[in-house]
Amino acid sequence: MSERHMTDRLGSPEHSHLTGRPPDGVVRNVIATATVAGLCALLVATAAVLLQPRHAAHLQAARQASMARLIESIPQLQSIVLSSTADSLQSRIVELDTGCFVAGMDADAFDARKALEEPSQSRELSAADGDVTMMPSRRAHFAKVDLLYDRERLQMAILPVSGPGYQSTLHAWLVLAADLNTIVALAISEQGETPGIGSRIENPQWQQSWSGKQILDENDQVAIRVVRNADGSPNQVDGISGATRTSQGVSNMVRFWMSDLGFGPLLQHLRRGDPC
Amino acid sequence: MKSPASLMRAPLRRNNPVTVQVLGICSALAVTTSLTTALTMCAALSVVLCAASTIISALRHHIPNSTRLIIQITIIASLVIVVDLLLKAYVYDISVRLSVFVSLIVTNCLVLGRAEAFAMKQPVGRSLLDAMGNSAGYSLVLIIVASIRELGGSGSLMGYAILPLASEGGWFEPLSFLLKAPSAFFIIGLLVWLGHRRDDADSVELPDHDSHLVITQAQEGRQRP
Repeated sequence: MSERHMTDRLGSPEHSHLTGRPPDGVVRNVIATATVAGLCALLVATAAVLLQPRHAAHLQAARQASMARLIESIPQLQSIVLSSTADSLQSRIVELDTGCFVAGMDADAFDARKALEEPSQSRELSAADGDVTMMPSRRAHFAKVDLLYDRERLQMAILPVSGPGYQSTLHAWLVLAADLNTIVALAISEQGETPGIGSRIENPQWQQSWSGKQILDENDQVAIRVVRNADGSPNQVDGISGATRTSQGVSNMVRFWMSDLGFGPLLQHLRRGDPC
Repeated sequence: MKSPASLMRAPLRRNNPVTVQVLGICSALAVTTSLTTALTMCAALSVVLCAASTIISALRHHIPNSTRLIIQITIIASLVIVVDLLLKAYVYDISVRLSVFVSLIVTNCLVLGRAEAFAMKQPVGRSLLDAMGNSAGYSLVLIIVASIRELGGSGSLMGYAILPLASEGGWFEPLSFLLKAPSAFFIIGLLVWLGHRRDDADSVELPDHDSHLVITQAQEGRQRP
């Protein structure tokens, strides 16, 4: 539209083409704008304050629902989570190399198995990383961890771990207490070991024997391991006789995930109380 | 000047905000995978549009010309926040599914467009009628698109199964394409085309000048012999 047409159509350019009013003074502008802004702020603030109790209730319900989903997905942990005083659950995505939480990734949508197959989301572990016979062949860049809080205080960390057993890949949940050193539980969630032999790692009694064990020794080194004839030290778990290789697989799996290649950096941050 | 009835009727089809003026397309694509979310979005937008048009029309003699857009946006944004808070408080599940799209009503050109093009110049009653008409026009398109997408994509309407799914022993194989955003483009595109065909068939009635923004001014240039 030409300038001329505009002028014809809308009248003199000094006058508002909308209202036909002359331009306003600065003071009047500021007062009118500030008044509208003030009233709007009041409206929003009132609504936010009045509706706050309902929002808090919904958030609480959503947290409980996510906790219920977690318990449902890990039946072995049901009694542990229910007997704790935890009142909220946070599912977070961790970048394993740095041990930092990743904001902006949807924890519910994260699929650890898929990430392991995706070349862009995981990497192959090589001899440069350590003894490959004691490690999984690949590791994802990210992992989803569940943290249970009791009034803002970390109470338990639920970490997914996996690694090679004797003839299958083992998957388990490792639950650590608030000190992130004491094991609350090890729950094997999936395994395909020899039935009746290696599959005994699913035996509740054996899994129970992990409870109370310590990850670190007095020099803060990862010392937890499965041994034959454990001597009762807090770092030793008695192996299953007849299932040496599978027991060793569980041992390697836990040690790998507690090392710097696994959740080590995250645990160090959390122990120091400066999660990033 | 348009009659009150035509203020309400024109935005339904002839001057539909979505298919003719192509405003508010973003949300029309995003929330139409199910009828429930689309209806909630329609309600949210209608409340914001009607309230914004009424308030802005009532204040039109006091709104300084040089800062009018800022004031309009401030009013619209406040209303959107309040509506969003209300949805979060009373229909939490749906508000989670709508995610940011209710907040994005602030940037929906439809609301600002009606405020700037109509409510700033017209009395309160007419502005409210215009806002109601445009809300209805927007809602009509969203409901059509959402019905097609939910029925074809999941075999249900508002969550109630209409077509028995093959995965549950029925015969209907859902067209998952319809649940993806591009399908909404196609459906809206078809609606635009249908609207134009009908317009061509009807005797062309010139859109009236007082109620349209630049887009209709451009059309006016095209339609005049």
